[in-house]
Amino acid sequence: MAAALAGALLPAVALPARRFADGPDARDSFPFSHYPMFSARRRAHYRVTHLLGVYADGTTRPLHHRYLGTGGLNAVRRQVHRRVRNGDGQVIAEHAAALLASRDRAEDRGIVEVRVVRGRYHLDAYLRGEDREGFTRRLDLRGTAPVPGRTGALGTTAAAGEGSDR
Amino acid sequence: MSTLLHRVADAARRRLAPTAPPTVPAVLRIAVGGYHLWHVGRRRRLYRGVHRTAKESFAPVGPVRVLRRPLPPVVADALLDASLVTGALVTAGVGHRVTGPLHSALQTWNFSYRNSWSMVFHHENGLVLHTMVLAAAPAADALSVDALRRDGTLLPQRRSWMYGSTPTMMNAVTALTYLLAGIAKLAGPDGKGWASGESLRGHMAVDALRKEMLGERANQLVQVLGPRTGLFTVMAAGSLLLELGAPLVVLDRRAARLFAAGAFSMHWGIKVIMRITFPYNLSGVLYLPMLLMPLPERR
Repeated sequence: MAAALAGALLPAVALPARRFADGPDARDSFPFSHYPMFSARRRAHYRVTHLLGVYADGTTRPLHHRYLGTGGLNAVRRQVHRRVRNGDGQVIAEHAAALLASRDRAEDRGIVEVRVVRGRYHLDAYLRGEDREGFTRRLDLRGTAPVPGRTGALGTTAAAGEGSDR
Repeated sequence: MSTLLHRVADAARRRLAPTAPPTVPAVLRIAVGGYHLWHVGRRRRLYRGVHRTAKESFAPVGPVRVLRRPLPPVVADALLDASLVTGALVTAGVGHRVTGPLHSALQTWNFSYRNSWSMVFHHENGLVLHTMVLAAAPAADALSVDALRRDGTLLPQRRSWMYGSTPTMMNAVTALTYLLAGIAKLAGPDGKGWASGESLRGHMAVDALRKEMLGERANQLVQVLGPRTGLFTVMAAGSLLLELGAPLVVLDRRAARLFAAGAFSMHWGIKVIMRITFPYNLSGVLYLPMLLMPLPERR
């Protein structure tokens, strides 16, 4: 019985190989996976949706994904991408700004505004060590919210949905 | 003809399922069960957070596809905690014939549920597959409460081919997962060109960039290694060779140990360069059955 159960396991582990025929978009499963990580073709640019914190002097820096949700970086990244695509960018920005104010972490105390952006970044420029401005090709604003209770908040420089090419 | 078949079957049995003491699967049971307790125990808060994710993100995979909507978070929490209890019982070797399969079922469910909220992580496949093998194996015939009850000792003096076949099965499922990962790269859009390292370099850049943009510490190593394309060719070709050669671990102890050293180093390299963590691989428990393979039986 035990040998039969153990023997059935090997075909179950091997069978997901069928999904290779479905191309790179085949959905993976668990615990019987086809391990597509690192096999997709990478393009010259990469797009990712994330938060930018804005200081009173107008400078910006990416904010930690803990303001976007729970479950780890990759889980949050996917969830936020889906929600922003469905038009929730402004809601996410307001929620993140409220969280940032209530958590009041020392490293984020100078942030007066939170933006949800979808950035298009040049990978080779990034690998060459250029700064963020140097490897950013486009930033699309999907939501913006002032951090509650913080003075010196900036006026929004672009309406949600507008893009800026660089 | 039947004599020839008999000889082949006997040779395969002596190599793949040599007689061994019950301590071989017992040590593996303790290591894998103990790892489960550590892994789930330290991530309990993370998993409880996942159970409370917005239901729009629920995309069930594997056995969780029986659900149309997420479980109430308290039920998912209870199932997670139940696997800590069964994990402790399995590690101690209490009622293994019942607790082994029950623990495996709970663990498979919980990790499948965790992977049903955005993307499939491959951190836990090896752990789940090893637990399945151990659940079906006589893994609590030594170093267990079961052995104390039945034989009055933790180290019963008996040998069986079933004890020797347990690490072989665990190695076989591990080898298959690596082989699939290798074939996936060749079946992907780059085909054999994947070995040039350009794709790997792009993946490293994407991974580092997305971490930086999502607020994690920048990985300085990426920009140091990024321009060295030759290094990526060596890493890509090496990992492909390792993955496609993985089935050899089932046949030969030396190949298994070589593979274990290579794969263990590869995952630590991935951790250092890309900051991608495969905790079960990094712990070394994934490769323990390769180190505990008994010698093939002599005629």
